[in-house]
Amino acid sequence: MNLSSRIVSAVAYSVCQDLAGAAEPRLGAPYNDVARFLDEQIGRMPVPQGWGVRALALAFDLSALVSHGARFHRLRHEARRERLAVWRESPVFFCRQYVRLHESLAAYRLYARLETSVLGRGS
Amino acid sequence: MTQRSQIAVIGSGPGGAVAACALAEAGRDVLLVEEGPRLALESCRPFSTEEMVQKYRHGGVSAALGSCPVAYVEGRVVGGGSEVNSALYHRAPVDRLEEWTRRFRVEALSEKDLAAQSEAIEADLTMAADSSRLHPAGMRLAQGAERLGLPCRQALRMAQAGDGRTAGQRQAMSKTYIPRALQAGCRLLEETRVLRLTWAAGRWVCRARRGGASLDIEAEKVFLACGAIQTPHLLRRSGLGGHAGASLALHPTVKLVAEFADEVNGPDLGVAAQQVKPVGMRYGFGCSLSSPSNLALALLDHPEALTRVAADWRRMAVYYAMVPGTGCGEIRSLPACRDPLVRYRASADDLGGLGEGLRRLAELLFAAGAKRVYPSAGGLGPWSSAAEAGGAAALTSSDARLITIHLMGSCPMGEDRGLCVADSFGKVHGSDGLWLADASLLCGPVGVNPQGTVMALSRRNALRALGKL
Repeated sequence: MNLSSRIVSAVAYSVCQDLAGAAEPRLGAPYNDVARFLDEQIGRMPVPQGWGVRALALAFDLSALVSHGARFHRLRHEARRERLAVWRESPVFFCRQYVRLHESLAAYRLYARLETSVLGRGS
Repeated sequence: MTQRSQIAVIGSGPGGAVAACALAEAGRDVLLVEEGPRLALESCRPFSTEEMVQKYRHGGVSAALGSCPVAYVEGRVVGGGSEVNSALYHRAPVDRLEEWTRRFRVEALSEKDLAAQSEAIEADLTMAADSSRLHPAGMRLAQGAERLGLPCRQALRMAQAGDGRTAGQRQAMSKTYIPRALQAGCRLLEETRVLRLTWAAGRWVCRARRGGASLDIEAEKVFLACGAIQTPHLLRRSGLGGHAGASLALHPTVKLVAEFADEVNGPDLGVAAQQVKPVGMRYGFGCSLSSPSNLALALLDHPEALTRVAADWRRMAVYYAMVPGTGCGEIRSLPACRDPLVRYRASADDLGGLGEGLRRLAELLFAAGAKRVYPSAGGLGPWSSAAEAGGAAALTSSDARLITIHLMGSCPMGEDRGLCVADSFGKVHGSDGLWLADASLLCGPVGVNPQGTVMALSRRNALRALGKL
């Protein structure tokens, strides 16, 4: 797995744990399916935007060095949540949009699991 | 490698398929070129993540950038957008046609001029007026409208008759005009991306890529039907079309989720066709897809409700408020980038109309029995009553989660060369044998689903090119 995919996977796991809530086994970990979907969808984005998202991913990963002494994808869940919250509420438009993009894709893919279970078919 | 034909139609969505069919049935040698794959309509479940990956450009992840980004989708498959949309059909509103005629000096664009084309399209496709009249979320919209005295209509759908709750099979282009065109001798070249057009020795040469190899397509005439984003991008890369891409229009849309005490949702219900357009107002309302994944997406700003989707999704439904945008967008082709940069600046009128529309839609849904309403906007809601919704703050560019599925107007038609890329019948100004046949031709936001207007114009323009009009 390359660095970009590792960052996406780390973001996906943290976001999914918050999105899933409690007591719904169909939305529980592992989130490899969601992480893979996010990584592939970001890879499909239009070139100028896709480049921007990859650059932001690197900045997001490195920004944790200042606050936590380690890159985002190496942090534990609670520290990751803190970093995501900082970017979600950031005054910088691109930081907010970065988190929003991942949350949107993760929510969409995660809750598609319910459709699989309801319909008994691939999502 | 070179392919030759009398006419090349690039793009196989509603505009391209209708044009290819009309041209092929008139006996012309037509090559229909599509960037996406040829897939059966049934290759995946409608509106699923699989469909996003298989049939949408960029997997459905595209946005017009700006201070308030607008997420949008484009079909990328044989049949284009008709393979992935909910097949709702409207004729162009008369006031729009009159405005375009006046402002852009478009000839032969009256309701009467287009009626013959619309009637032909409607005869070719099965139009089911009541295919989802019993859709529970749609019925709630209709009930609320009735209680508030607002007009609610059931949009036509290009679909076979359904069972009342759900629509029948979509009459997508892959089921209708494309087979007809092929039957008439048209050839189909799928998974072929046209990169550039050049005019050489009295013919158009379309430089393309197919399966990793270069391909030249030579044709006397070319119809571009790649959609409101890709058509101007191709023109600009080819140094054609003057100010192509400088006037992108769209219908900014905001969603909300209404939660009811009883069930309004179920598996595979699709999109209800009920729509509300308050008289004299810019905004209109309708029903959106309400699968758990779409509910989750619309509830991102309301984490408490989001985490209840698994348990309560059958009591939740997604609705939308939409305005014909007065903002303006543009499509730019950047050096060394295969994809264009798309920007849109939502106007204060757009945000004001959408904010008012959201509040009014919430009022309607409370009148229909909603217990709680969750607008898809940061810092707004949830609302527990119409009064609470009515007193809500205005929608701002940083709060609004704008989306659109209707893109148009990037290469407007008309005789005013200062404004228009193509003439009144879609022929690119200053070109020889280059025509446009998609939503880029519209002169602005049409205010309703543009598919019916695009097909009517495409048929009209193809007949004109054939000398039959």
